[in-house]
Parts: sequence; structure tokens; C-alpha cells
Amino acid sequence: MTAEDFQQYIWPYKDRLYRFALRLTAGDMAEAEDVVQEVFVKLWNQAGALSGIANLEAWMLRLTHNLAIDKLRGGYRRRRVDLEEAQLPAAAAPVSDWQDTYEQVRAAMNQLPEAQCAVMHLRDVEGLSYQEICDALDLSMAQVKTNLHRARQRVREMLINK
Amino acid sequence: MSYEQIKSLLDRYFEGETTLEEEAQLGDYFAGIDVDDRLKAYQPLFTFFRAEAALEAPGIDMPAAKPPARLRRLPAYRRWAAIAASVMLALAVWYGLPKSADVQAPEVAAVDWSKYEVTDPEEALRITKKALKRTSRELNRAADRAAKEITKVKKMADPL
Repeated sequence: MTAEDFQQYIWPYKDRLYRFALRLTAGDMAEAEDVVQEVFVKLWNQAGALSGIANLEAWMLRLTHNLAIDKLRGGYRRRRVDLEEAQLPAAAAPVSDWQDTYEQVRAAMNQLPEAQCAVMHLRDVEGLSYQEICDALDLSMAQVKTNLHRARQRVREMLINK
Repeated sequence: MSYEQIKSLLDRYFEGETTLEEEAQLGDYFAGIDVDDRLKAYQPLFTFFRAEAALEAPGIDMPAAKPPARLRRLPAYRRWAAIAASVMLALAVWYGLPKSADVQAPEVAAVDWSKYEVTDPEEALRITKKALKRTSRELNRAADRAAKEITKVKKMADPL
């Protein structure tokens, strides 16, 4: 694989991979960048084997998912924030209602179990089909639908009860 | 779209029954300015999705021609443990090794090589030929191995 090939076929996915890593690391930008950088280095090192991969995007998303989860489980970086921690403190500078609610949605997403969070992100932010999510997360169709349903229900409850 | 239509779509969305197209319709509706007051509670959710989807990776580097080796940084306590273990090992080796003064050169009886000397010219020729043949075989094997290693290095430099 040449640098041109990499730029043409792999590089366009960097934002999607970054957003996914950012979601899984509960908004830790440095950690997310680190994950994507590691994904790219692994891709580069395995360039010879990439031609055998049927769905490169799903493969990259799965690698991003696995690396992000490894980092989270490693426990040496910031842990996923709780809803209460993510809310702005009362003494902070005044913020608009929109900002406040936006942060609550972000916190609600971060509070979801990992599988639900990943499925909801890929569907609602990235607009992936159910099959693409199955491929990316190595889940069955039933698991994807169940996780998505539960995630949306939980977020809905959090929004209504805020 | 009317309130009823959006409400119906929204209910199906939360049940996980909407298609990607219908979810895009919901996103468009909540991105607009005419959101029904009864549905405003859901607006931040869809606004959030749109804003998240627009996020770009800030500091990702394109891998160089040869990607940099990324070293795994150990936690501080493990680094110190590794240093302590190295020092202990060095000390153990230091104390365990015999000091130069203690080392006694073993006495070895002198070998009488003359009894192994080949006196028959035919035998000497046969042994010499055999040694040269073996040397030649080893040299050829080394050349093959070197060629293989060069091919591997070339592949690493240009993987595809």
C-alpha cells in the first residue's frame, strides 16, 4: 500500500473513527486521537492483508471499538463520566438552556452501557444500517436491535425526567 | 409535517422501528425552526446527533512512509518495578560470578596431534575435497538466506 492508496481509501474515514472513539472514551479527545492513530498504524502495518478484507469500514470501526474498550478497561485514564459529573456546576458561568440540554444529552449517551452507546452512536450519529452495525461490532441483528431499542428508551427517559 | 405525523415517527423511532430515511426526516424536522412546543423536549437529542456528526478529527497524523513504532507507556509503578528488578538482577550476577583471582585455569594435558596427521595422499585429497564441498554448500545456503532477507526487507519497505 502506498501513501496515496492510504490517503484515498483509509484517510477519509478518520473523522468517523475519531467520533466513534470519542463516544466510547466518553469525550476524552486525547484518548480518541490516540485510538485512531493506533488504528492507522495497525492498518499501515497490515497493509498487505487488507486486500482480503471484504468490508474495510466495518473492520476499521471494529478495530477502533476494540482499542477504545481496551483503553477504557485498562483504567489508567479517565473513566466514563457519570451524568451528575457531566452536568455543569451551579456556580459556573451562566450557559444557555440549549447548552445545558446539549450537555445533558451528551451525558445521557455517556451513561449508557458500552454496547448500547456504540450501537446508538453508529445508527444515530453515523447513519449506519443495521447490517453495517452488525458487521462493525460483531453482533447479531437481534442484539443490534435490542441494544438500540434499550438505548433510545433510556435516553428518552433521561430527557423526559430531566 | 403535522404534529401527529412527527409524533408517530418519533414513537416508532424510540421503539427502534424507523428506517434511516425516516430518521433523517426527524433530524430535518428538529433542525428546523417550526418545532411544535409539545415536541421541543426531543429537539436537543436530534440537534446533538447532527452536531456530533459534523465533528472532525483534530490531531490525527497521516502515517509516514514507515510508520513510527508506538511504544506502550507503562504505568509509573511498573516502570520503577522494572528498574528495581534490573538492578537486583545486575547485583545477583555481580555477586554470583567468580572473581578473577578465584578463577583457576584448568590444567589440560597437551594433545599429541601428530597421531591424527594424514599421511596417505589419496586420503588427504578426499578429506580436502569433502571440506571444500561442505564450505561451498554453506556459502550457497548463506547466499540464499541473504536473498530471502533482502526480499523481506523490500516487502516491509513497500508492503503492497
